[in-house]
Amino acid sequence: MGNNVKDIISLCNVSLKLNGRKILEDVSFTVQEGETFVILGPSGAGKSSILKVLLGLWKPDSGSVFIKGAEMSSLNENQMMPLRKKIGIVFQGNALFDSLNVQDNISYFLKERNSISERDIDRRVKECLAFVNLENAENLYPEELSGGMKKRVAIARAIAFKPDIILYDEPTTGIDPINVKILEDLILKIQNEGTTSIIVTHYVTSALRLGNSFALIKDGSIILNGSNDDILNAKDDFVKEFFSDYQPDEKFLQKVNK
Amino acid sequence: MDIIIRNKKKITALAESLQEYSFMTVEMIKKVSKIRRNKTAIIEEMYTIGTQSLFIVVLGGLFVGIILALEVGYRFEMFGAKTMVGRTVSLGILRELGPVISGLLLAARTGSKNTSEIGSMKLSEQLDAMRAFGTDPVEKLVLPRMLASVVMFLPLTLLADFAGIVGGMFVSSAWLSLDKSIFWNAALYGLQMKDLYVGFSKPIVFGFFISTISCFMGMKTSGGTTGLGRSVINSVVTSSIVVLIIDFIFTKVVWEIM
Repeated sequence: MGNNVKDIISLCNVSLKLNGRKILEDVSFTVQEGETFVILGPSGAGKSSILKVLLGLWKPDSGSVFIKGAEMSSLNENQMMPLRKKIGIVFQGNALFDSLNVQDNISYFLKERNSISERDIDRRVKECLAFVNLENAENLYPEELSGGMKKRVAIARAIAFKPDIILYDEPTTGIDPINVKILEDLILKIQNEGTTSIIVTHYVTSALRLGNSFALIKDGSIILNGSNDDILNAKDDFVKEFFSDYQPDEKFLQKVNK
Repeated sequence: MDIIIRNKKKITALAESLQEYSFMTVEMIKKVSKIRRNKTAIIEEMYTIGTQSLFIVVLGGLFVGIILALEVGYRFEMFGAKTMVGRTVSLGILRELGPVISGLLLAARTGSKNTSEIGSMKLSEQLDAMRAFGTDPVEKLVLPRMLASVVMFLPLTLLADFAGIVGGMFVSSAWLSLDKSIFWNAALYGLQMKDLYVGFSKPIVFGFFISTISCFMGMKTSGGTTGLGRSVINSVVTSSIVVLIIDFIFTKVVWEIM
């Protein structure tokens, strides 16, 4: 693991404890370039923790994390910065800056990078807002936005600097069905541009619509890692129970058969 | 020895916090060279500290001067040493009470603001977002607050000192029938350069510790709104105790060395 050129992300036997409590145990998976990898599991299973480990926000107690060939867990905070600049993230609670309007929230990290002019930053912000269909929201503050709009601003912020990898932490949680569809379409649009994505969710329908490969996590351990086919044919009781409510539609079955 | 064993957990937690605080402070000092990149944030912080704390600090200084003049004035009058009031008030305020009272008020005013702002950013994952997008929260949040405090605490303390001495003068004139010119002569005559050095160095040191401690407490916040409240209380209490300890060190050690 971590040696294949196409593997843009690899986790090898990662274990993590926080305050003596087991969070992750022996977690391993690889994500290839351009792939959308979905991590499924019940609440509190350790899904979001995997994203924090991937970004180096939490250091694993054992195991290795490779991002684009670089071993994250051996790097210090300053060494991680250039790698993190290639990754966009949409946080579960959006993590928008309350004191900044939408325009400034999106441009904040672009300005920090000092690589493009003010005019180009403004143009990029407008492009991103148009991409998420929020053209007229640039002067609004986060408290003035609905849940779905906040999520779209968070996506706009994550794609603003054209990252190679995007991580989504529960992108459709707490959102009404119409906005869920809008967000899923947005994620698919980003996916079609060739961006590698990792999506953490507990919504089976969203997961199966968006993902190419999947991992199911329970109590910090991965109990299934494979394709949609592997999910539908799994024999494990927990996997069957987790997917029991899901009725695959025609489109999905066609996707599996392909 | 029993006390240490009984409080092993608390002592370990304290030692860990001290270690983390030292790391954060060293990290922040390493970033001092990036002042120019953060000049807007520094100026905004200076403006906030200056405008929001001016009234409370001047009011604090004024009443300390009034009370000090009244207390010593009535006692000195008994010994026929009323003319010494000016000297006592100016020395007491410039060297001790002005910096300490201002330090305590600023620990409450600025310290609680820093902790609650950064703490709520921590709870809403905004600090994680900064790190995840390759921006250092210590450089962006702690450094500007520290520099703004170090710069602004001195003029605020000077204004508090001035208000205190003027307050003392009016009280001496109104209730002790002491001529204003006698008060001022005594106030200025008794002063030495080292009184001013000590009195003027204290606010700078207080500014450094109050800002770094309050920012550190904010960054360590956990446990939701209750945790945020706890962090703010800890921040104000710790900063106030540190102000008193530093004042003692200045009075005893620095004064003797000079």
